[in-house]
Amino acid sequence: MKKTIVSAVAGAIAILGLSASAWAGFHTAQAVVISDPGMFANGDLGYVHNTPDLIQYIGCTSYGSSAQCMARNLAGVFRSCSTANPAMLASIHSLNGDSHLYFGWNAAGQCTFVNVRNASYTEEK
Amino acid sequence: MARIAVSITLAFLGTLAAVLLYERQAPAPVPVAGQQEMFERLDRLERAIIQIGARAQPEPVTGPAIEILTPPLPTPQDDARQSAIRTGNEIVDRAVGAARWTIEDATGLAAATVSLDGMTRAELFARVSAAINADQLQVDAAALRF
Repeated sequence: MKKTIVSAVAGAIAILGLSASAWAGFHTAQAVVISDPGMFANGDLGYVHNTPDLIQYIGCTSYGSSAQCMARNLAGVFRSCSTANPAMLASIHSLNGDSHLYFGWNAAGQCTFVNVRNASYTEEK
Repeated sequence: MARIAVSITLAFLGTLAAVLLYERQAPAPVPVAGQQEMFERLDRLERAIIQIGARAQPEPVTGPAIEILTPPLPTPQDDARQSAIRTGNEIVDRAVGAARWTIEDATGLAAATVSLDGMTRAELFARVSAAINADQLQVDAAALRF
């Protein structure tokens, strides 16, 4: 009986230890941030996906030789840009569900930059 | 053809005038009867040659200019492109007028512009983005799914 209890406790500790190690490391958790003065938006796709609210959104739609990025923050503000720039398209095509997306726009609605970060510290979906 | 005829005539008359002038300048060892009359005819002939030469101006080169001024005829591809751009702009105009960007607008714009090059297509979508950023368009949640 004692052996069983000791085994159970040891198992629980091991599981907790594994869980802790699975969450170890530097993490970011960025919601959708929109700056109208700076004319940019950014956020972690995985983190935004996991937030309980049904408002935030950030991502891009690729049409092959052109693309459009959109973001909506918790306040419901939408911002967007469109591009056919090959370098920006390459960034957009490298997006995945756990990426960090950062894009800017001008008055004409064109993307001024599109940065994508795929790193260990962004939250997974 | 006309140029060739004028050139031959001018060459002939020039040669004739040169020969006659040479004969006129050369000292005549023996006075010829009717010499004065002959000189007058030569003068008239010289004047006629000068007048013909003045009239025969080179024709302007018009070949390349005509090619530049003639616009190429529109091809079916051009018509399809213009039609796609027009339809795309109409979709955006209608959405901005309604102040809403719906899933129908999103799918409609994508479908209407599928044949366009990336740059032109991006310009049309940039109009949507500009309207969104100016808070002129409310984006329906469903439109994000497209």
